[in-house]
Amino acid sequence: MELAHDPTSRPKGGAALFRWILEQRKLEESKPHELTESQKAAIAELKKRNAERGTTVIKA
Amino acid sequence: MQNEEQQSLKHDFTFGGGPSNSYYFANGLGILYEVMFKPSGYLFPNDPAFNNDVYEFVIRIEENIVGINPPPDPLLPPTIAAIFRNFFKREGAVIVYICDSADGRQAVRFRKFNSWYSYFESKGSPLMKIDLEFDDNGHPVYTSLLLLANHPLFPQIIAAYQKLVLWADNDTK
Repeated sequence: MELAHDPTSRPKGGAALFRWILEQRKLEESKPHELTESQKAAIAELKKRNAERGTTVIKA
Repeated sequence: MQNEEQQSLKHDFTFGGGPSNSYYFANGLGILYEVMFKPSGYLFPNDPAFNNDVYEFVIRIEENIVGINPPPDPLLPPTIAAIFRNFFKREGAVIVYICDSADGRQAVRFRKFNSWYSYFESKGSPLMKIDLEFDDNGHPVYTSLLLLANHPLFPQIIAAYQKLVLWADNDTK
């Protein structure tokens, strides 16, 4: 499993840590987002349900 | 009455798992959202009693076939609330939210996040939210911590979170 955060390169704390988290988020967002098989299957199933229902909306 | 009816509706969602515990839902207008709970124990390396239960909440757009910004959606708060309810079935879960500040719209994001929580709160949830903000070179950074009020390590977690943010505050001076 790929680690979302490399523990060796991140700041240990303080504002630098929060800045680093937001920078990591931006970096991740700029990379192609690869879905796992379970994610692909879940999305396909959701789309199928929505299509069959004719709406994304359900009763809470 | 209409509001009550609306509050009983939400978008259907699904759990896709993966390294970031991803949930997905579509808004019916060609936009597929991903809600992630990223394992973030590294924030509290000195607290092994709970750091394996810490997750960072992130919401992003996974797919946008219309290519426009999503319009305001009254079903977003109940949908997010339902996803939170589902995720908090994990015993001991603690969630950290950090508002993205890259485009200067962190205050807007924080208000939006608060509105989602307000919806959650109005449903009688025992979920607690602790907000802490600090200044990073003149820019406010908004953070929140969410955990169940009956979490057995509640005081310890709040103290560790305050320490983390205060540390952040001191770090900029």
